[in-house]
Amino acid sequence: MRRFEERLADETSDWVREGLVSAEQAAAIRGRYDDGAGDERWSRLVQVLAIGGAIAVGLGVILFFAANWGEIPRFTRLALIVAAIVASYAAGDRLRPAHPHVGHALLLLGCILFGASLFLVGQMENVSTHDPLAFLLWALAAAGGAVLFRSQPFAALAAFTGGAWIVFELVDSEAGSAALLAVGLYAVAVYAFGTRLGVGVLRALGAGGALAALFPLTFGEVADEVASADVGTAAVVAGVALAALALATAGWLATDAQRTTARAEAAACFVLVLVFCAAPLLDLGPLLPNVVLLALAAGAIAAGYATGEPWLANVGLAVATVEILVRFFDYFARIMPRSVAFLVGGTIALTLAWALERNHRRIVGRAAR
Amino acid sequence: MSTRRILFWAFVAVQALVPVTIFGLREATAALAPHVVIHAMPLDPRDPFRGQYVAVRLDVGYNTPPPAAREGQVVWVHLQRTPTGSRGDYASLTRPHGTSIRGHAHGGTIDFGLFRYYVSEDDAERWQNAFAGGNVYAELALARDGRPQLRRLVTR
Repeated sequence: MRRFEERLADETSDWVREGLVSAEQAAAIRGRYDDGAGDERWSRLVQVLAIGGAIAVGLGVILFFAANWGEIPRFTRLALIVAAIVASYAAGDRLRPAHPHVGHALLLLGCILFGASLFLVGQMENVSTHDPLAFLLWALAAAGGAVLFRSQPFAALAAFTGGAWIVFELVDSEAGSAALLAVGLYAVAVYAFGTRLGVGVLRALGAGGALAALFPLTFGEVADEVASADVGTAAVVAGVALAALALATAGWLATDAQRTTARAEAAACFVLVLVFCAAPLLDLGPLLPNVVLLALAAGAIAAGYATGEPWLANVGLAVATVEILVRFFDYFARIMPRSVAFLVGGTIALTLAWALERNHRRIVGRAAR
Repeated sequence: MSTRRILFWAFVAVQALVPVTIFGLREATAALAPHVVIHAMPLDPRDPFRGQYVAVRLDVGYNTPPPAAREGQVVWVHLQRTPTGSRGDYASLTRPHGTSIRGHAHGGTIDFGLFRYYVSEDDAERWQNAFAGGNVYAELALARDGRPQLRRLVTR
C-alpha cells in the first residue's frame, strides 16, 4: 500500500492540473503533512523497537538466570539481579532527556527485572506460600512507574500484572472457574479508569479484555457451565470487590463533563457489570450475551465516530464481523449440508468484506476527522 | 535535589530492597531457627515434576487434629527425633514445649502446606528415582511460630 504522502502528491498534482488549486497552494498542502507525518511514524517505530528490545532483554535475563541458576552462588545471584534493576533505571534516567524512547524503554526494563527478581528470589528460597502476591507487588511497582513517568507502557504492565494477580489468587483459592468473569469485571474497571484519565493503552486493554471475556458467554454451553459452577467464598469476595471497583470507576467516568460520550460509555460499563454478575447466578442463555455484544460493537463504532477515535470504531467493526461469522457457523451451519454451509458462510464473509471495504474508510476516516 | 529526583530514587530503592528483604528474612529465619528433617512425598507420585520444580508435601507421621479443632484452625504437632528424621507424636491447639511444626486442621487431617523445590534438568532424574524409592526427606527451618520453611531436599 502506498504511503499517505505519495497518494497526497498524486492527488495535489491532479488538483493543480484541474485548476482547483495553484502550484504554490498544492506545495503548501503537501508541506503541511510531509514532515509531521514522517516524524511521527519514525518516532513510533523507534518507540516500538525500544520497548520490544526492553522486553526481549528482560526475557533474556530471566532465561539466563533460569538456565545457570545452580552454578551461580546465592549471594551473587541476588547481587546480580538487584544491580541489574538499579543499573537499568539509572541508565534510563540518564538517557531520557536526549533519547526519550530508549531511556523510557530502559526504565520499563528496570520494572520488568523487578518482577523477575521476585520470582527468581522465590525460586532461590523455595517460597511456596501465597505466590500470587509477587504479581501484586509487581503491579504496584508498575502502577507507581506509570504515575511517576506518565508512562503508557508502565500502565500496560500494571494492568497485565494486576490481572495476573487476580487470576492466580482465584486459582490459588481453588476458584479458577470464576477467573473469566473476574477478568471481565477487572477489564471494565480498567476501561472506565483509562477513559476517565485519558490513558489510551488502558482503554484498549480494558475494551479488549471486557469483550474477550463476554464472547465465551455468547455460547449457550459456556453460559450454562458458568451458571452451574460451584463457586466458593474466595470467588464471591473477588466478584463483589471487582464489581464494586468496576461500578465505582464507571460512575467516576459518568461525571466526565469534557467527554461527550462519557455517560454512554459508563452505561455500557454498567451493563457489562450486570451481565458478568448475573452470569454465575442465573442461566442467561445465549441470546442476552449476543445482544449485549452486538450492542457494544455498535456503541463502539458510534463512540469512535463521535469522539474522533478510529481505533474504537475499528474495535466495534471487528467485533461485529467476528460475531456475525461465528454465529452463522455456530447456529445455521449445523442444520445445513456441509457444502451449503460453506457456500453460504463464504458468501456472508465476502459480503461483509465488501461492506467493510466500502464503508471502513468512510467510518474510520470520519472518526479520525 | 528536586522532589521528582527524590521520588525517582525512592522508587528505585524500594524495588531494589524488596527482593533483598525477602531474601534476608528467609535467610535470617533459616540461620536462627531450629532445623528438622521430615519425610517428604511428591504431591503427584506418578508425575512428581511440574516443569522445573517438584511439589512436595510432608509426611509428619501424625495427622489427626485434636477433637476440639475447628476447620482451618492452627494446630501444632510435637516432633520427636528418630534415627531417620523427626516424626510427630501428638497434636495440640496450643504450642507444645520442645520442637513443633505448625499446620491447619483441614478435612479431619492436618495440612502442613505444599512446598516447591526447584531442581535443574540434570538433577530431575535422580530426584525422580529417589521419590520412587521413598527415601526423600525435607530439611526444614522452623520459624518461631512453628511455620516450616523448606531449605532443601535430601536423600537418606
